[in-house]
Amino acid sequence: MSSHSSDGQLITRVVTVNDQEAFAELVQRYQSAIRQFCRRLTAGDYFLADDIAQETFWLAYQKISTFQGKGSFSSWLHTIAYRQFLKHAGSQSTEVYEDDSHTLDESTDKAMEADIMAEKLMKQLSLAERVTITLSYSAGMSHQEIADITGFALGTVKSHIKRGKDKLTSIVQQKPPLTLTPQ
Amino acid sequence: MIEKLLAYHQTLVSPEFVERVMQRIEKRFKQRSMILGLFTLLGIVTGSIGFLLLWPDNFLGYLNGLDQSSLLLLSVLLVGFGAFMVWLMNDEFESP
Repeated sequence: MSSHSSDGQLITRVVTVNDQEAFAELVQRYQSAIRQFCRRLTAGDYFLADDIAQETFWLAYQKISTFQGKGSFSSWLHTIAYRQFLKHAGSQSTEVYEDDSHTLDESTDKAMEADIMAEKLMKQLSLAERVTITLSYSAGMSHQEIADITGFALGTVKSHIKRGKDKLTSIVQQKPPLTLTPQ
Repeated sequence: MIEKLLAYHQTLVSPEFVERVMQRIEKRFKQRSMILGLFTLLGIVTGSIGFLLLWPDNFLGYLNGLDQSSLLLLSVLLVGFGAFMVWLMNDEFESP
């Protein structure tokens, strides 16, 4: 029944009657986008990424009555996820996450391989470049939406994306993606 | 090239993830309820002890002086006050 409801209808049910099923439906809808976003930000640390994603949905549940519907629910969730990631990044001594349990040679799933490759590429970028590049190229958001989510000025968003893209282009040109190996 | 490389290639949909999120919500709610309950109880006990220590004679004398109907009215008022406080804090007590 919930699967046909719009986000707005589900949110209204969570706020007005504390409908857990409606919230579970929202989690179901957005889990992939948020988990992928967190995986990119953590450059492939799946355990940390899923922990941040779960925390994001918990905070969303707690604060859902403050969601005013000015932007999309997806943007709102991405904002929470990004802030949660910054908290974790700030509490850790390094911004590079060591997780190289995946090797491209062993993987048979092409989609998984491609995602692992993208996550590895993220390690070459600064946090600001990671988040702006991911939101732009992976989540397909506009520069203005990215500025709203990250709190960066519009010009800063554009320059981070350009710098990140230049870095990645030069890496890919030096080393074609399929020959990139875990560091 | 970069766009294609960076796109999300997998759709991560797992019922276990949803379940873990809902379990986390339930767990946090229980923790909050316990903390709230504990401090409410602590407040009531401390308040009662303070009240009895500060005005023991007047309070007990006042209670002894009350007739049965007044005591009943006082009890009803206390229960009403308690019910009002529960209603006031309904958001916190309401189960998710």
